[in-house]
Amino acid sequence: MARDDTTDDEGAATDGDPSAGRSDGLRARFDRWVATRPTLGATLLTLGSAVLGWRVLAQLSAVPLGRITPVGVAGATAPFVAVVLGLFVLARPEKTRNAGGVGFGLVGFTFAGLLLSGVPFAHPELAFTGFVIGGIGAVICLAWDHDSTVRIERGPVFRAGRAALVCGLVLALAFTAAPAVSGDTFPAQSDTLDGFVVSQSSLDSGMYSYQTDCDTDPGFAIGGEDCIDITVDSTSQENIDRAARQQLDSTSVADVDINDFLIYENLFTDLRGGKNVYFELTASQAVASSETDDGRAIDVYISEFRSEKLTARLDLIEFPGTPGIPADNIAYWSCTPQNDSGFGTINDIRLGLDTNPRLTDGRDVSLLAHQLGSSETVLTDFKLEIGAELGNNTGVREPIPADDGPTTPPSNCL
Amino acid sequence: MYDTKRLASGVGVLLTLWALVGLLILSTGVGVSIPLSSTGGFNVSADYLTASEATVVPAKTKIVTPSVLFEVERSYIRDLNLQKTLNVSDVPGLTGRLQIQIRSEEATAEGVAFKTDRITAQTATWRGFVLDERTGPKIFDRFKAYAGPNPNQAPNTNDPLQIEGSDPGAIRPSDGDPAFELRGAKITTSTLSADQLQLSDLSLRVRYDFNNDGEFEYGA
Repeated sequence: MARDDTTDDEGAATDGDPSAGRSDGLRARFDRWVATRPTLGATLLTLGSAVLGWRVLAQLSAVPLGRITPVGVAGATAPFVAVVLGLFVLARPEKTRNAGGVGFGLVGFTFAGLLLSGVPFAHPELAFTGFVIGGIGAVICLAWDHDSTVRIERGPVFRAGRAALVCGLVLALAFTAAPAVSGDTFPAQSDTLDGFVVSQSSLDSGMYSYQTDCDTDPGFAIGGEDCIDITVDSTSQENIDRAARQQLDSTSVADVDINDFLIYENLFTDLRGGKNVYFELTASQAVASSETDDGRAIDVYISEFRSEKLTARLDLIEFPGTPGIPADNIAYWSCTPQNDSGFGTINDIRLGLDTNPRLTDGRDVSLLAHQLGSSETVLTDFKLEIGAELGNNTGVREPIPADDGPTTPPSNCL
Repeated sequence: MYDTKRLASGVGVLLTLWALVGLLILSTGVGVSIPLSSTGGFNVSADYLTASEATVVPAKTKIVTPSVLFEVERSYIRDLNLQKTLNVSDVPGLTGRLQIQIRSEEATAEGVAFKTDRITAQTATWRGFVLDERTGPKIFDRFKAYAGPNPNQAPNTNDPLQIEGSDPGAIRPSDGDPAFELRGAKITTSTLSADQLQLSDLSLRVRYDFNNDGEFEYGA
């Protein structure tokens, strides 16, 4: 219906006060358009549903496509239908009530689906914010009475209340969405990237080196220690070409010494209707040593690597307990290291120094690994567990968040 | 404009829904809780346990709970304690719990296979340990861990790991180093089988806790 009201008797602006006296301008026409439909409700419904849709897609990205059931597809479609409904309300305000009612149901259905799906979802607080915003938007749409001639005065209290509601919701969305947008977690597991996560809160080792699958022909390598031609397979793909090999050696100066050692893998399965089965191995301390000539203690194929701190030290005197000279410090970065030669050590990654320094003061070092071999390893407070759970409290390992902000990764990262 | 009654009832429904979701999350932490760990089974504890070689793969129990299947070639166990606690409250005329314990000071076993969902130990030592992730149609094919020789003789990648298992280890500590060694081990198992088992200084005892207070009033 057309809204011809402009001002009330006392001259206060009303809902039917679109132009406030400037009836022909673009702004006036926009105001008139806004006033004849539940703009706030439709916007909030669209925004909330879009947030839920984003979280649903993020959740499903962790599941191989073939494992998504028709119910899962329906659940994934629902928030996008709600987004369309929000836009539909703007185009056809006379259908607002029906659209609001259906939108309310879809928002609720999506959030319930996220909780009950059995697949872990990161940032549940963000999904809840989407549910709150979408719910408020849907209720405002539901309450919209297109045919009503009752006018509600837009006094200062109404305006302040509406502004507080919008600001509050936007702030809640900004605070909850920031961690999800920053991507500041490890690893980025998806259907094309499986692997088991190896997490170490502290790491010291006699020596650290790596080899990558780089472009140089291994046949031309001098000394046989340059590029390697590797393909590692993983739980859902036979060939991961973005792989590197990390080696930790024990020397006469130091063994490989890890504190708060954790290995876990999420194995999605049809067991009991599609739960996530997790395999977990933990120890408060792990010490790996080797008596072979090369001192190789741990040999691991990885596709992702992150460390919040690593210090390379050069030993002038090889004697246990000597501190060594700090050669390089690596603050947090996440990458698969690689350089042209395909072979390097901890300080070779950034500085290009071809030395074999000790690795000390490693903090929050995480690997996305595919094969791991270790020589003699003593694990204290050992625990091996396999289980399944529906929620994300105990059953599913969350990605490991980083405490510090990332610094720029070296240019030779893959 | 807005129908205030409808707005009020809508807000009411919304607040109720949020409260329900909040209660659900606060009370359980998850949307739905289904018991997924095996409730049956029995507990094995040992002061010292070795394996000459061992493989570990994901498996499932008969009641379809996830577990890992441990297969051990040869094993030596000191201070073995096998314990099963039964709730007999459902039996007419009985209350409380009944516990059966089998103890042995020394045991050697060959061809041991057991399914477990949890192993803890004060220390665990591996010599030549490999974790290997593979592509496979079932989850049970996708993850393999072994100590000792590579069970499939297959390379992990087309560029084999430099550490690829080890030779079979010793069983008794006096004979050398075992491939896998646990001290202060506690294992929750659902099934346990062995081709050959030798137990020395064996004792069997049954204890009964009639009032379910955690203290076994009857029995040795």
